[in-house]
Amino acid sequence: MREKKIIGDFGLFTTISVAIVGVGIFSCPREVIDKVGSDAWIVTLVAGVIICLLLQLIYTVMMKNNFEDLTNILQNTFGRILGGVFAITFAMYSIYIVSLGMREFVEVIKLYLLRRTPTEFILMTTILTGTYLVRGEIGDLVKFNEISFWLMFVPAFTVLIFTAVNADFTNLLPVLNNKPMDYLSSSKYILFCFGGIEIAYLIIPYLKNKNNSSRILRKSIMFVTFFYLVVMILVLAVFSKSQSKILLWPTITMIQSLEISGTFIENWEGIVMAFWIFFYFTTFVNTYFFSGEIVKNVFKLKDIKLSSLLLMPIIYVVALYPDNIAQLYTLQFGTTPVLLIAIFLFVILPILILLVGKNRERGGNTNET
Amino acid sequence: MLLSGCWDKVEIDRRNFISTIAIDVGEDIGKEKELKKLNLVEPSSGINIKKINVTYGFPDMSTVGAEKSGSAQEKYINTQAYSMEDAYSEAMAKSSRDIYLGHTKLLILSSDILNHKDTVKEIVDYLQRSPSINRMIQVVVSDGPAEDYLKFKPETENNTQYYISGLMDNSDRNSRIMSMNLNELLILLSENGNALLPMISLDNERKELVLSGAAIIEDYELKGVFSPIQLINIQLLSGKFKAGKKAIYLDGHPIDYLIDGYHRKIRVVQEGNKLVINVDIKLEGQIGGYYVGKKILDEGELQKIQNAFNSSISEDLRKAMELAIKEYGIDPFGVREHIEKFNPSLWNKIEKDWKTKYKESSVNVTVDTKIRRIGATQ
Repeated sequence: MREKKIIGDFGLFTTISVAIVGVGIFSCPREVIDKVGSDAWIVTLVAGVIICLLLQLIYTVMMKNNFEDLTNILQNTFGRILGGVFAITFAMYSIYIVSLGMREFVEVIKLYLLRRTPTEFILMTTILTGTYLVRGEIGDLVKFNEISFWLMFVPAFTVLIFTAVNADFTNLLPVLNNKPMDYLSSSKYILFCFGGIEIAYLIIPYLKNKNNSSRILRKSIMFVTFFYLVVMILVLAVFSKSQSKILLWPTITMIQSLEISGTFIENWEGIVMAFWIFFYFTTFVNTYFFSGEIVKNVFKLKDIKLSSLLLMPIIYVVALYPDNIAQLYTLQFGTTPVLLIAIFLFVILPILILLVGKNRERGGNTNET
Repeated sequence: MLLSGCWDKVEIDRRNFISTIAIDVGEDIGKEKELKKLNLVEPSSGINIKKINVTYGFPDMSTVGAEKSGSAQEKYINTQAYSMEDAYSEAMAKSSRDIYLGHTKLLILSSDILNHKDTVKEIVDYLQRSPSINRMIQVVVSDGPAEDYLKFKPETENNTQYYISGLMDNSDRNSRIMSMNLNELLILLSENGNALLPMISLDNERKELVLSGAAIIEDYELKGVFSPIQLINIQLLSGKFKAGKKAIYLDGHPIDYLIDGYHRKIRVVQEGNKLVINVDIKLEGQIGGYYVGKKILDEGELQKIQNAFNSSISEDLRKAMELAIKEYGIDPFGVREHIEKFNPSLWNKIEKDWKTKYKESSVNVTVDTKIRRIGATQ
């Protein structure tokens, strides 16, 4: 285990934030509003709290295991083979989700920006650019995150402030007018939007100041929740619930329908879309690095350059697999195995690690005495 | 990798920037019913039917330049097609340049096409689905064929699109004119299929193009027309009023009341089995003109005028609202949204038979006018 402690507090904050905010932000408002209507923002808030707890769980796991990296923790707890299998599952799950996200990203780009460029070509370009970044060290990745954080959120918030001008905030009413089941089924989508928190496993071992990091983690989740909340409220306020249900990507259409009288720029979406590319790209690169690191550690490869090459074709194939946009969404949200794996990885696995770790400690103690 | 963006390159001088889209009925619109029976198996028979007539207007770029002043002359491409997408490809085939819809400013729907519900639904879906269409396009309904309006040359501007857009931009200062953009229209249609659209008409003798009130759209169909005066009332009731005037006759002379402050409150209660809609309107403004020699700088006198306005405006508004509710069954006032948002328990009860409940509801309008200023004379 390398004893490099290179990442500062701000690095942690930005990495968590940019890794979580991804393409989900485009489609998520539709799914949630479709289910719970004007209560979408409440669901977002609750999801933020849940994610915060899950992240706290991850932190506790890391702390109990002396901040080693994920593969080491898993292999120490469950033995070499089982731990390895878990680690690979983790990596594959992340790659699967991020690849489908990539397809969604490409579809958005194809619809709004590059109409005649083939899907395969956009995919290849994105993957190759990502690979170039992943081949660097983790320090480079975090620096990249720190820079793109500003590139992402400054334009995003600027645009969102302008959209608020045409918004009708009474659309947020009525409050709490749905069946409890609807809240549950809609929270599925919003929780997927928060996908990417596993990056904490990668980043925490490299922190300079580990004692403070629990607070920083909470802060970054609060920031992301706030961002999602703003987007959700604005989509509702601008489009009302009946129109938001129809639109495939309400967030983009919202930016499209932005009109600022007196400005010289008329079609904002071109500029904004260019910035939105970062939103996906950061999620992709971080998850890619995370999976690459796991594959490297499990198979004892020399460095991440090799493992990233191994993952490249998988991303490409998974991203190309869906026939159309409808199948893409079914694969993302509609399949039970994916859901189960997600629950296993983010809820059951950390708890298992903690339990097994405790047992072993006790076992070790009784042997000694 | 650096050149990967070049796949989609289009040179700017190879583009036609469409500024106006005018949609008319085509010659085969009568076959709409027949077409409904068509299904997947016989695709080719539906292709050659000219259901709609779409005209794309675009400024002639050769007349724009540093030395030439003002807006450009307009040119047109006219197409006959069975759908909007077909019209687009048809226009492509007729043009030497790439047709670009991203800068469209105005959409003119002819009143005839609004009598064909299914075709309208097809058009609306196209506008909603197509990512390249700007959602801030202004939408108007034309009285008669839309194409004529596009070819009309107004006195004050070089092309129609500038003229109509200019008129609609004035809606901030005068509520006799309303403006509606595609985004608002789509939201209204998706909410309950009801909308009011600004209507334009052409006076051929006087060579004038005027905004003549509002077309009433209900369930994607043209149901009637409001005159500009009625439109002010509707705007006042619906909370969208910006600025305008009302007048009454007092002692045989008109008094103009220029409204510059406005607040509306709506309350819906259920009394027995009937809905009662209460609208409270507060107005602030000044007197615009009366009669030489009449003094109104007197509290009692002003109170008298205010009371006269109160009763006149509230009566006016009540009639307008009842007309809209009883005769057209439309809801431009947002009554439905109001109940849904602020009284969800009532909404859950009446949602099923909302239409009949709404038609049977009674209306109370109370108006409170305040005359703040009386101009520069007594």
